[in-house]
Amino acid sequence: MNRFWKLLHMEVSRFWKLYITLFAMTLLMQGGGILYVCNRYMQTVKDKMGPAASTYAQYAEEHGVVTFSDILSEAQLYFLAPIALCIGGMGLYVFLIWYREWMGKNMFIYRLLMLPTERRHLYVAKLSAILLFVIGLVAFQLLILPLESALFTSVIDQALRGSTESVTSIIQNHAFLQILVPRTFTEFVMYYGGGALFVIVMFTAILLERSYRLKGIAAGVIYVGAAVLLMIAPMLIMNRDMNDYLYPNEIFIIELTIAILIGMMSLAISFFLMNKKLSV
Amino acid sequence: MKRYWFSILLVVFILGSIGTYYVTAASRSYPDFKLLTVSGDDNEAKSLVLEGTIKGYGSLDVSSKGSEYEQEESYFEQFSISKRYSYNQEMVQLFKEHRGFMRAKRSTNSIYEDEKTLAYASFNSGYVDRQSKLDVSTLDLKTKSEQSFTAAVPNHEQYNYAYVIDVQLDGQLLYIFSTNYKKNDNEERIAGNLEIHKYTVDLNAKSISKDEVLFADTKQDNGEMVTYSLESSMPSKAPNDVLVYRKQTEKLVKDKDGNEMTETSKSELFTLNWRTGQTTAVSSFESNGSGEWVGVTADAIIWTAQQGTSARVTNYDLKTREVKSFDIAVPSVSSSMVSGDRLYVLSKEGDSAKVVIADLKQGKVVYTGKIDINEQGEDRTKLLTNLAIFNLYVKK
Repeated sequence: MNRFWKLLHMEVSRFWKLYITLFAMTLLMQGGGILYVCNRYMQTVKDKMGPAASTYAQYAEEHGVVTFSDILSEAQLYFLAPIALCIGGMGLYVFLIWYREWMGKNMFIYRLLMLPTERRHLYVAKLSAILLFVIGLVAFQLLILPLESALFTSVIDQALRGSTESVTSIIQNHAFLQILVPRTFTEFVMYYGGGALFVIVMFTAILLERSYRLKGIAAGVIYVGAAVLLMIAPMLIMNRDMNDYLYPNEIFIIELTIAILIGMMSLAISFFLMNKKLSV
Repeated sequence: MKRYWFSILLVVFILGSIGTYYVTAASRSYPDFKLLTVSGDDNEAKSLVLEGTIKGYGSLDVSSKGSEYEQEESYFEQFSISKRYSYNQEMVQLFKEHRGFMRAKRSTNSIYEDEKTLAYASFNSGYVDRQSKLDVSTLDLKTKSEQSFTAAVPNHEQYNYAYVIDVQLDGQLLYIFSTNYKKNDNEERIAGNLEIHKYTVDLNAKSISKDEVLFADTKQDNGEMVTYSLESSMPSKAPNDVLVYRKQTEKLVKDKDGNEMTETSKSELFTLNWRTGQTTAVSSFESNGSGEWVGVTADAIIWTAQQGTSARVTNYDLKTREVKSFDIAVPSVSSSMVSGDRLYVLSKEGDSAKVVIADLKQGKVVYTGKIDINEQGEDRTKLLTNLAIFNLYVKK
């Protein structure tokens, strides 16, 4: 177990510079975007009010107030672009976390495979690292959302602001954030568990490629396709417009069982490949 | 340990941030609306549920016990079919009692039930090429034997789409009343292409033995259109000899922007005894815009009409053709519903929400209540004004 923690720390420390860059980029783009949109809004208000000596309160009465959620949807590009970049980056790193070991003249995989520990520790460390990074990014978004809201409060005059929203209602009323941070913790575990399953399946495909090279690519693609097909099999078999043959709780239990089976099978194949087939 | 600070910090940070968020979200408090009795028997409103939404908090159910918010529900509750169909207790009951038979059966109008038989008939929907089939299933409630078959629909190529409004059974003959949309090439208005059909299904022969067009939209010489619609009754599964339909005369008019719209010049109500084919006009029904349609039950038609500070409830007996009416003191009728022999009316005006329950047999009010919240001053007014109720149902 001690070995696992050390390997996990190694993965984290190899990625931390890039990771901090993702944090910084998100903070700058979202903060900058919200600041820009808030200032633009204040400018529009001032322009519309003109030289006449009317107050913000009067303006709010005529044109309505603005909330942080309104600004968020106005600044959508600045807000969602860094999230998309983080998702893309993490998607790419699912592959890089393996392939970087084979890069360079002195391949690092030599040393890793020689370590006096079970090889599956290596696998689990990589999987945990990816999950940690992804959830870390979500945690960072949760941290900076109140800060961005404070930015909104400081730029927009009190009289122009609508009622204050809690972080929960900002997230649950946002079309995309409510997927990243679902309503209940159970859903959070379900969603990110689904993400972990996806990573496990991708890792299996990568290990197939590393073990059998060209033939492995074909095997990997077939494996991913088979996993997807298995997941949607209940819908395909029912072949109904509304998927209403099974009751909702039955569909949930069946899908959960299939997901667990795919996960266990993928882990078994991956551990087998790592122990018996993986070579430098 | 010093070497690992970044990893440790990352894990602590994740636990702190996500943990704080979900603890805060779980401890969020929601406004607790409640249905309070003003006069009458508390028990009348015990199972009444008012479904609505409130800005900032999402959808909720208000009852005499308090409020339940969808956002407070656990993740797994969304997989419960009785929760999903809570607005339709008739279906919830059937899902509970006949779980196997009710698979893939989700339309209330398609159900028929008497002491001996439970029947279901619906058209395959969604794809044009599959619409030509009618799925029929029956369950013998005594022997529990199930029969199901698919029957070809006569002249199906003439129709784009069809759906079932009511199903009735007589011995081995199942009658299906449906609205069919005729195919049209010239993109004409849909309203002019409706037909009300009566299909007779022979359960022994497992096929449709007769297809009758009861009513069809017609265009008159003066440009007016006569359209027909069948009203579904509540509870829709109940055996019923008399069906209620509406005949509307419509005219195409142009508004000031030149857009075409239909204007109803006449709306009449009729009853149809499907066994004898006899139709009778419900002469006492006048649709003058100020009234609200409540619905058809197995033995009556009920509607309301606002008259100043009270609403006049009219109860038209389908068998005796007797008309009874009585007044309930509400400034408006926002929602109404009939369950058993009780009429439920919600009147929502600004921050006041009044609930009235009336006994239709005796023609008198048995309960008056209001939605209230344990808040004071501006908050109270704001919350009550923002509350929107869109449906009422009685929980079984």
